[in-house]
Amino acid sequence: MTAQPHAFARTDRSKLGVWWWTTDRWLLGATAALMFLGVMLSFASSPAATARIGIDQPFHFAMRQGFYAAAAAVILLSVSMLSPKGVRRVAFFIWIAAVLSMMALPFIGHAAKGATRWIQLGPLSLQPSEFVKPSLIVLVSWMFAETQKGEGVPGVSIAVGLYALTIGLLLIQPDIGQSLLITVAFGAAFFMAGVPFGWIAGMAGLAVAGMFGAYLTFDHVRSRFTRFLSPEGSDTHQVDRAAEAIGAGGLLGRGPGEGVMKRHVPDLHTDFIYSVAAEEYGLIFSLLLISLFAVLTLRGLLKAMKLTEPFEQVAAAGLFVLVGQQACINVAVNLNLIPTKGMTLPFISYGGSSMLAMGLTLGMALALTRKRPGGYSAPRRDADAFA
Amino acid sequence: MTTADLLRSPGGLRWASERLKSRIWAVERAFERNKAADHAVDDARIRIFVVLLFFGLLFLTLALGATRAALRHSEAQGPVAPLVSSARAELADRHGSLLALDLMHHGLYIDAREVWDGEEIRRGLTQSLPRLSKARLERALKSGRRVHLIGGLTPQERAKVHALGLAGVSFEPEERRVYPLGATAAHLIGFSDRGGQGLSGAERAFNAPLRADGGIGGPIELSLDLRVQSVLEEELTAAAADLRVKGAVGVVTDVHTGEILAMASYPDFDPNNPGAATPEQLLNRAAGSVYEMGSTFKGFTVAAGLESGKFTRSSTFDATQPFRIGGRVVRDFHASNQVLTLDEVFTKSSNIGTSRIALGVGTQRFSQYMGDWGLLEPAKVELVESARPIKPAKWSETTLASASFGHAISVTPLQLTQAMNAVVNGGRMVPLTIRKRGPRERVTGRQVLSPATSQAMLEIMRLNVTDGSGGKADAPGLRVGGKTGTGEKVVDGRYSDTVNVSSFAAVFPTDGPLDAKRYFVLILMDEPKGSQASMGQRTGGWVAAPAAGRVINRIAPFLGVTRKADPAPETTPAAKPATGSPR
Repeated sequence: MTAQPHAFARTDRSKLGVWWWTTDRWLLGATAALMFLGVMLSFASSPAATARIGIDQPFHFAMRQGFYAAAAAVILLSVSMLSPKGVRRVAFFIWIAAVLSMMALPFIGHAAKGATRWIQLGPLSLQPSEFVKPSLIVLVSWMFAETQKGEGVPGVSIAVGLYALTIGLLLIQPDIGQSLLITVAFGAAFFMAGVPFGWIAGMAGLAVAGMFGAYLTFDHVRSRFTRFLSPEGSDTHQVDRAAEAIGAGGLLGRGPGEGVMKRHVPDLHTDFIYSVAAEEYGLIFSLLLISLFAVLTLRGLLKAMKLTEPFEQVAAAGLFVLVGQQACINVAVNLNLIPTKGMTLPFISYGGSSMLAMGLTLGMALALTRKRPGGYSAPRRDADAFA
Repeated sequence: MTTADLLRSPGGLRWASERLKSRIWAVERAFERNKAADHAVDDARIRIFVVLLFFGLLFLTLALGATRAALRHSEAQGPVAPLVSSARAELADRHGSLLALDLMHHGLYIDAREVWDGEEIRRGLTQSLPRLSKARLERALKSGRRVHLIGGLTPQERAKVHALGLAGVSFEPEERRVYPLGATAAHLIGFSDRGGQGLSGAERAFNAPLRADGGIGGPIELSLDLRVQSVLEEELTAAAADLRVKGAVGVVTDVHTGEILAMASYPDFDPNNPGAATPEQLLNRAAGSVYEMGSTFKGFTVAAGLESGKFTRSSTFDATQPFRIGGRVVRDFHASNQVLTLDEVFTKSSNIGTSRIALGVGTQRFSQYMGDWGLLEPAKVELVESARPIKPAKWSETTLASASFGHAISVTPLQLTQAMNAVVNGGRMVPLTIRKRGPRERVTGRQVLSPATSQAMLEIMRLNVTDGSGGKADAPGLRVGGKTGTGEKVVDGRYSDTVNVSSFAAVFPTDGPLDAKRYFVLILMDEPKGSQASMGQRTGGWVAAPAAGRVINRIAPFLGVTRKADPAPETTPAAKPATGSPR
């Protein structure tokens, strides 16, 4: 062998070698590209944000984003090497830790922008709700699968219980956005696990009732809906600016660092980073961004579809739904297709918790979709025959 | 038994928990069974595929939405032409110096929702824009939306505010007419409104060509010569201030082409801010005010006398006695009590003499001359300000006598200028213009005086400066000629001898052929008070002639009039007006 075309030879049986040959390249590639773009975009938005806050170092946020991306990559790598069993274990402990810290939030958390969501850990402020999402999805998928084995595990009840506890803690904060994400992902997992069709109508009714309840209970939810439905005479400032920026970007954008909107509106390096990117790099770039998320989500679901184990199928699909829906909601808000919802764009928006949790989410998703003996044996019916 | 009662009793509680347990298990089993039933629609693969399709559609929608958002706006991005263009072409003087131009200014907007630090905005804006109203700023900061705070920011002002980097502060371009010279030639240039409509002066006169093609045409060149204009304004303002006048007028024209080289009206205003000016300042007295000119008019009477053929320069007139006509007695201001030649009637400014000339010419003929010389209708000039004269309802002998020395008829300074041009340019009635004439442009005008009369008038006017009341208008080597005038204004129904309109109508040089370069200068002081410089006098020879002389002395080099050695004075200084009061 004179030239080595790959970092790892096929015969490499080391842990990393096995990982490399079993992990899906498309998913890995899309994830890596998104992380890289996130760091790159933060170099554009960071100086504007630091200047406002009064931080001397203009690339403060960019450097932190780079650090978060590296940490997320490490988490992603190590988690994706786990076996499905290991994934369940990690999900369980993380869920416990996240729920405990969410319970402690009212006492030790610090508040920002009208909600108590953060825990200060040294230089990092972590948002437990970010980590609770993937772990909950894995746990409920596991429970659904256990029920279906018919071994007397009341999985559905446990899953609903876990979900209810999590949502309850989120609504206390209050964090409507994360509740919504979790509800959709939970519903999707439940659906994919095989909810009888008769139940779906009831579940949809419950979801509508829940949303209406949130509309009645939380002022900011109500105002955002009203604003979206009747933009005249109300403050549609952020979305107007976003539309302005996207329009100004046009096909090719104003050029890197040339965007002007980022200087005007707070939060643009987080929730509205898509608009900043569209202004500076244009439509071509935004389509690339959307395509990357599409590749990640669709390819992920395709891989999940082909898995054998019901738990792996549903958990992997649920995790990709989590990533996909968050990306879709963020972009749709930026394009003013749905009401404003503070939601980060996975890997792209600035934020440590979001980035690390995304590393965890995709780490688990990659771990579940890795090739392994029996993992992808064709039709499940045949596989069942061996069981 | 109701459910509540059941729950209250221990047995009921157990029953309820059993009931719940069984329900839960029913659900669990249903879920399990559903899976085990192995229907195709319940297969996880198909379900996941449904979710996959759903996301596929979602991403497709987003891609379409992103495309629409990016392209819809980029179309509207090109240069946005305002619905109604306010753009105007530039105005320049005859040598190309800019007098009026459109400059991009900026309106400053504040959006309270974008403001990070209200205190910073207050400090920054009040420091860099002192004219900004604090109350307005406070209102804007509290408004909660984007509001226009202040307009007309110069590029410098905008740069200053921009450099502060205030969040929530934005600019929008707005065209604004700028007059870089400020008050210089303000009445001639005029001004326009925000919507790009000329309101006065050349801006109004040339409104259509200035606006044509969205103002992209080249600059319109005015007849104005900025050098002459600044000299005229400087001297006029100095004299006006010294004499504490109510108003003052200065005009300089090329007598052959009718071009107005300079035109000043005092007090003046800054066209960049016409709103701050009083009506007195805005009034263009040269074109829009009428005055009984007084003796300046005697030039016309003498010219009429010569032109009619009834009199020659050596005709004599008895001025020993006051002249009775109708119910009126005409006296001379400084009675010479002697018989005067025509020349002397002019130089000594004899009311008796001009009355006799006018009567000699005859009512009909005299009024016809007045009409021919444009004294009975507004001056022919592009300025809409050009006002109608106040003329006698009918020409009786009395009004004829009054008109002969500039009473009974009120004309604008521009009318006087126009008529005087004809008197000294060889006799052609050339309309005035504020537009520069082309080098090859042929100036036509009706012959309203014979060249011989014109020639004679040049000589007679020169005499008035060398030997008569206009001595103070002389300028070394420039052969200045002219006529003083002191019109008495009507106060409480009668002519006042202290409230005057004092003027000097000058022409230079008076020698050389009729078609040689020649310029007319008019200086008029409305209600001058006596000053030290005028020895307490208010008459034209004392208050207007000196200013005219100074103006001529300074503008001659610009106009290419060369100085010649003055002949040694033939008359004794005693004959000069220094001794008496020029009238």
